[in-house]
Amino acid sequence: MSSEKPHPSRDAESCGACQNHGFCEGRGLAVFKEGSWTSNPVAIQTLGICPALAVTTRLENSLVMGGAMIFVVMGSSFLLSLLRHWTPRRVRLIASVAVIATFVIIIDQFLRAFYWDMSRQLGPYVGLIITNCIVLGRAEAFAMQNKPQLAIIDALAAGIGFTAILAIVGFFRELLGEGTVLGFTVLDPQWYTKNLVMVLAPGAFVVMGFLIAFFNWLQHGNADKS
Amino acid sequence: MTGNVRDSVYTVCYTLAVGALCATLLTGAAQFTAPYREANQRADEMRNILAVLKVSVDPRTSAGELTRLFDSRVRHESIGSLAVYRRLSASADEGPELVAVKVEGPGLWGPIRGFVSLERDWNTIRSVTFHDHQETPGLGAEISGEAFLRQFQGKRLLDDTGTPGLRIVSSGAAGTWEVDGLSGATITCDRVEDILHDLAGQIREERLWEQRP
Repeated sequence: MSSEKPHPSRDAESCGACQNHGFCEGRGLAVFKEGSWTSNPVAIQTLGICPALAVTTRLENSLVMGGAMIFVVMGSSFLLSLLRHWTPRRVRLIASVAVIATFVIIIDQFLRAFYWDMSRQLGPYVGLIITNCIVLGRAEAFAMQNKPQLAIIDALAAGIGFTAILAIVGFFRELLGEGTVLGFTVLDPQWYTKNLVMVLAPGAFVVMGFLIAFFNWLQHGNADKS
Repeated sequence: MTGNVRDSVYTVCYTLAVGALCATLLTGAAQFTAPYREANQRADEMRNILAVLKVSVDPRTSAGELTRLFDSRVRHESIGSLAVYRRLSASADEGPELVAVKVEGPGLWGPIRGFVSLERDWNTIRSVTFHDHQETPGLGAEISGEAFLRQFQGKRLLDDTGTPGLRIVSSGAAGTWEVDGLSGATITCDRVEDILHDLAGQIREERLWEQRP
């Protein structure tokens, strides 16, 4: 997790607002904004690039992958946050991976049961969520030091941040590569020549590059790069 | 020292507890989804059999309709160790009889399963699918890609002397007994060749080929 920026606002056990103002009223929003926008897992921290490049050939694939990710990161963060006082330090990584793997296999089985075609299209990438740095990153950096309510908000933020980037990449690749959005024809094949590059890997890199540049520009403007 | 022992015992107990918790969640999910997953697998198999038998199926067909279509168009039988699916003709203009045979064998990472449809002579290939495998995505997994499978049409399993003769070559496939392999997937291609040789051997053993010289 070396690429992750330090979060000064995220010190241990500071969810004090919960006692007075219901559901983490005080910090919830800040945590959500931080997780999904200010340090967006893909565009800012450049984590989870592999699925962001691999499954984003179509918008629908991106959304399903994002949904699976949200489920896994929320489930594992919640459970690990519940267990945080009992988890011995030296086995915490093994415990995290076991819990994450459990949620990944659960969502994989549900996709196989109720969304067969999509499960075939996503292939190994649902299973590979286990190795996704975002999930383990949220567990290590946040869930293990914070209350379950806040951990869930943080996980949801990371999941939504991830899904949003995948959806943007998927939208452009499907639109330019196949002329469709969610399977509906938008660019008429009579005058639009499908751009195969966008469907293949280079298209993913190009869209991703533009997106990361755009996020950098948005958040840092023209400030010098040092 | 006792503190250390107590720590270790605690760690072991904790690990066991987390393991049990994960196992319970997984068992629950697997039990709950099993009937749906199996139904999907059966439907996928039926679709693949119908595809190699050149019976057109609407991709949106429901499971029930698919089963009815399958039962009305395909007859399953066993010849020796071969699982054979015969196409029942619906109309005269559908062309000659076709049979599909289930093939299975080890791949690089896991088993490869598929269907091969053959013309009346039990030798000339009409169509091949490999619907279930765990080969490397982008390399070996291309065995289920259209470009690779298309090549098999019209190729023969057995050569003129009745020996399994179909080969997957690295480049420059020519003639009735050669198919171009996939670069970066030599082992997978070798295994596919073995699977087809096994099929050819079984066909000869069951004397299906000799019946129609």
